[in-house]
Amino acid sequence: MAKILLIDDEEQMRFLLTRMLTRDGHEVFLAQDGEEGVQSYYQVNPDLVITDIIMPKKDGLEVIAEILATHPTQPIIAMSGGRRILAAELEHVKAIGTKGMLQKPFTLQQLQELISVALG
Amino acid sequence: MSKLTKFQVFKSDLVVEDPSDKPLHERTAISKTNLDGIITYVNATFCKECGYSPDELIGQTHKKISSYVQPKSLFKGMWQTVKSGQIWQGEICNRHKNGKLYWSNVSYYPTFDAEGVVNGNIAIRFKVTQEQQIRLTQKLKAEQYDSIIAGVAGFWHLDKTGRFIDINDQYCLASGYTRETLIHSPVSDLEASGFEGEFMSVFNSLQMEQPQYFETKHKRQDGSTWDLRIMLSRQLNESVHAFTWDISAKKQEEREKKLLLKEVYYLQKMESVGRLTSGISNDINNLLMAISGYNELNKFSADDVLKENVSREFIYSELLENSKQIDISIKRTKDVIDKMLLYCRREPVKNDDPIVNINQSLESIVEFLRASLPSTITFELNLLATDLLNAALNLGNAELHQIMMNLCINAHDAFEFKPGKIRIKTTLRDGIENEYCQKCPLVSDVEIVEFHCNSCKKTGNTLDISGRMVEISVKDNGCGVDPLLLNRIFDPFFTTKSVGEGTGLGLSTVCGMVDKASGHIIVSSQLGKGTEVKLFFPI
Repeated sequence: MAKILLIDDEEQMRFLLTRMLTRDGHEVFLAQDGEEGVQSYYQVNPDLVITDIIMPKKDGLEVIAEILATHPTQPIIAMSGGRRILAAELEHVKAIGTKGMLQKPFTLQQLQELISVALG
Repeated sequence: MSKLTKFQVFKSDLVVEDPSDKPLHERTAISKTNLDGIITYVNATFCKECGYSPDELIGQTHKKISSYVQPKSLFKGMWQTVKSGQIWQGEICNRHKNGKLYWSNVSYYPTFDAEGVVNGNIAIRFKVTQEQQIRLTQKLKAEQYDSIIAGVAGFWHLDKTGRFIDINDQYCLASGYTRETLIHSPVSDLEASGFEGEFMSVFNSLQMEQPQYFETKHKRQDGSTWDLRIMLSRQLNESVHAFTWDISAKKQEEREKKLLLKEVYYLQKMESVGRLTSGISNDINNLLMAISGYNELNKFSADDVLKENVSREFIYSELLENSKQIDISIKRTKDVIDKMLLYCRREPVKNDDPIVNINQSLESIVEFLRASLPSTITFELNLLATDLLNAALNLGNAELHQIMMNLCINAHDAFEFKPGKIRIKTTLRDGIENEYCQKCPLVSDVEIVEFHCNSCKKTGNTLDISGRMVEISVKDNGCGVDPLLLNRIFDPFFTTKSVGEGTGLGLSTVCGMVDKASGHIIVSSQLGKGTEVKLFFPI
């Protein structure tokens, strides 16, 4: 039972993950791109942020950096779809304090496990 | 030997060693030549007749005064005769310094060294009479004509209905037909299938004194076909003379070039697909992710069946919704693959696969591009060119697709991994004025150098074209093109990208296809602000 902000530009991903998260009893807030994501973050004040990396307007790395700048302990899980996911970027995502990193395609079970770790 | 004795007397006594013999000297042009053909002596009459001074002639060969109208074989025969110690006599046509021709009766006498070996010749020329001049010149012309008829080209003499009266050897040799089989038969019998009627249509339109050239394909006697260039000219008596040239080699070259170009375009297309692979695989990855995700949700629902507190109706609706989503994702995956395969296809669907509605074509192309390019790139479509129902574009769907792919991949690269927007606009234009057409230099803010447009064959600094056309504009807000490079971007293999990121064939392919469709390209770009490519196609 947590407030989760889901930021992803792919409609089908938002739809799938929302179904899973609400099924597990979480309250889900949605954003379609990085800019909207950061705005919603300050309105919603969620327990957990799940964000895609490659998005229009503002990418996931920027979103993570901005949120962690004001809320250094905020639990965040980053997702990425194959492309442009270089080892260096993975390191970067970890280094700036992201709680978890998933590479698409991942199983919902993997995500569920990461969520429970992130929420402690 | 009696001739030689006579010659020796002639040489020493009359001409060379007795120049005081005035009457003979004035009438007789004398020259002496060594075995290399170099002139070693000329007399005053010789100089007077040809117009050159002795200084200009001695040390030169007879080519100096050659008319080049007589066959080489004539002079070859002369030298053979002289070298064998015999006298050669004949009519030679020379050219005066002023360019005019003159004929002489010439006798060449061999000269000998101390051991009796031929070491050159002495030529004695008498000018021929005016009557003879005319006769000789006419004979020469007839010989030249015969040699053209016999060797250079095929020749037909046709009656006014287009039937053979006579055929030269050259044509018979090349075609395999005998003169006897062709005479009285119509030329149209020789036409290759698919080219029937071409001969008669030109033949019937022939005007007196206005020869016509055309190219067609004919059958040889053995059934093979060959490409011919034919010149027809109607004679005063209404019969027709025809010259034919075998242009099969040239045509073959053109066909090979066309095939090669097609192959290059195809390879370029494959390259552009390669550039999109990561985008397309990302798309498919997402779809697989969705399929596996809903499948997992179904497994959760399966677990729910065992739980007592979950209603059957809820489980049912969950299973139904998840399966529906799986179906949607499978269909989308298939769409992505189908579109890619369609794009990669070597041949267009139909023969020419014409564009029926340019706006619709663009919509489906952009749909494919949306799926293939990163989601950080957004598209804005502004399709104003409506009312195009009867617009015939000289461009196939597959070609438009490849053009748009190339332009959008360039835009994608111009975003340098940053988010960006590609605006695609169509407009109906009634003529173009003051646009900077190019394959070549242009930028609105920069000084314009003259452009040369391959499509419109115009040089100048602006493009003015009348007539209705459709304009397709592709505009990005990426990094822009350096103005100094702008006139090179259409060159094949020109690229600003590093090795492995592009072959530099993208825009040259676009250019080739636009040319083929009689279209025009205008590029404007500003560093740091973006690039706009405008394509114009006549409709």
